Amino acid sequence: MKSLPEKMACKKGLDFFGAVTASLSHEINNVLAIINELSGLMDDHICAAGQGRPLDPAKLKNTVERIAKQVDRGKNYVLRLNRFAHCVDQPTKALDARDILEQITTICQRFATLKKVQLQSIVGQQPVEIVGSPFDLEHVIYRCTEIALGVSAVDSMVVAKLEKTGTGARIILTARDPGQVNQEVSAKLSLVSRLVERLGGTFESVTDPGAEMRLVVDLPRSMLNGQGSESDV
Amino acid sequence: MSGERVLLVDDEMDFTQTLAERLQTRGLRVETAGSGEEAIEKARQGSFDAILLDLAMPGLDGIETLKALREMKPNLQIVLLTGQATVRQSVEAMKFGAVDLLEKPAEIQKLLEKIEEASARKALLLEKQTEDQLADIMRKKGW
Repeated sequence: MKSLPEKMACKKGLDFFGAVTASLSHEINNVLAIINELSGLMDDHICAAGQGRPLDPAKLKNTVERIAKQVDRGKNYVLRLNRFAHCVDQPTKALDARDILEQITTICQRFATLKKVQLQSIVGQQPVEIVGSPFDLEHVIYRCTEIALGVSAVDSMVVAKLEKTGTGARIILTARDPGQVNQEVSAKLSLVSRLVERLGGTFESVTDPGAEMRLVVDLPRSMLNGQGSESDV
Repeated sequence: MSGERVLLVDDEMDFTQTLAERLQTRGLRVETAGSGEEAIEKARQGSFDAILLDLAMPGLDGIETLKALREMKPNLQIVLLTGQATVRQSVEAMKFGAVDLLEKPAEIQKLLEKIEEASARKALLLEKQTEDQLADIMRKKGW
């Protein structure tokens, strides 16, 4: 039998998985919709040619190039979705935290765009190696990003920075011009705190309304797994 | 189609531009807006037979845009043209006055049918409004 906190963590993990896959599939659908219109436009040109209007090679070339651009964009989303889906393959593995941070900030770009906030990640040149569940780490970074984007003012910026520490890794998210920390944000902050604790790390949040919110996650080089990890549930 | 005026609202510019071109070759007069704010401004300035509106947009989202548009011009015929909308979103959109919903990618023929229906509905509403106004005037005059 799972305890209530474990069930809650499992539910939150599923919510996160759902939010990411819904977002990426929405992006893929947008790409398909554009390709649908562009191929329809080509069909319109061909039909017009059948009725005696000469085909314009430059116009056709332009349409083909735009289709190719969308195919590349779509491939990129599928790649991200595929990588994300595989993050639950192994409960524990050696990770470069830089890859995980960049993967999640890239996935969260759409959420940032919808909120009219810029999202930037900063990682160093050296690998930041930690051992643990990729899913758990992605979940923690996602939840922090969700909070930072949620409190940010329109046209501001959220920066996600990764540092190597003597004991593992530190992730710092900074949101500019945050509003007041309301009940909803408080609940999200305690969720992150619980998630990080389960991994054997620590979490701290400092908010100065109107100035800055800083979310600091310190993770050990070897993150806890097994009972403490929600991806095992 | 006979020159219906359509406003396409979507933040995917490649989508709106291409669809606008296709609708124009079929005789429609099309304008595009890349955000909810721009759509409200264009609707304020012009008259449209149908508005095709996306739900997920930066800034004012589709539902907020829909509410603002209907508040400004209650006769506007707004068709949602969106990626997989959830049941909750669809119900909410209908509650706030969307007349129809189409999922992207949509077939051009289906889209034209929806525009034609929306346009006919708007014409009927205007006709009804004119009749009501006339009846009101006649009543006041004691005719």
